[in-house]
Amino acid sequence: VTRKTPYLTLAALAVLFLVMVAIEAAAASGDDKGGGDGGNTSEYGHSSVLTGGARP
Amino acid sequence: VTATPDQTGESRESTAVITALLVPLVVGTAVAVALGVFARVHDPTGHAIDVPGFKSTLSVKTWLTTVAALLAIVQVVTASGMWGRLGLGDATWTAPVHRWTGRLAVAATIPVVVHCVYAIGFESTSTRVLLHSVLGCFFFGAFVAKMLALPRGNLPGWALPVLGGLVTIGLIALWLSSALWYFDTHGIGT
Repeated sequence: VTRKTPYLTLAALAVLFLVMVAIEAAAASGDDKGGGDGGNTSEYGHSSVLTGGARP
Repeated sequence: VTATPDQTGESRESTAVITALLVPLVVGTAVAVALGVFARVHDPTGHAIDVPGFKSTLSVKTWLTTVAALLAIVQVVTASGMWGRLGLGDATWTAPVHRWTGRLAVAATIPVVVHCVYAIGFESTSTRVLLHSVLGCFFFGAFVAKMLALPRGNLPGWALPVLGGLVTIGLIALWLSSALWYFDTHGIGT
């Protein structure tokens, strides 16, 4: 453990964040191109997640 | 009235402490605000990635947040041990366990926050939802501030426990405002 460790941790988590954003973007883009359900994704209104009006 | 050398030294020391704290706090605040602003102005995609074994994306997010909250409890215990509050003596295992449970806890929340920010956005449809949105931004800002404060040797003794405490409080409050709500309305299950 060195003084650089926290920076490396932050960098690794930032990379994970960007990878997840890319996955989300690809999933959304795939659904848009496919005209709806893109196979492994589903769509819902962003303010009515599953149970009408609330979200976790 | 002129300052004595002691007073000048103390003044320099307190300026150094303020500077050491200021940088992590400013960057952490910037991260929190950036997340919130992006989530607010970005057009939410409203898409969910289905994960086999779970009935919905919300279920996946709920369980990831629950894992992170459980790891946060381990964080509190190991931090208490590191600061000599548990009478563990020279327990060398507490620091690595604290570091790795912290990394895993935040890693578990990343798919959750990405979906929240990218697919749902910053919402205020109810007090709980607004609180949850604010807490999400606060948690990541506090985490970044804690990470940036860690390597700084000239911080006052209370700084890291306070920052770590804020990160933990943020995560537990996030769990209370989301996963607990989900379990309460949908039942416990995947």
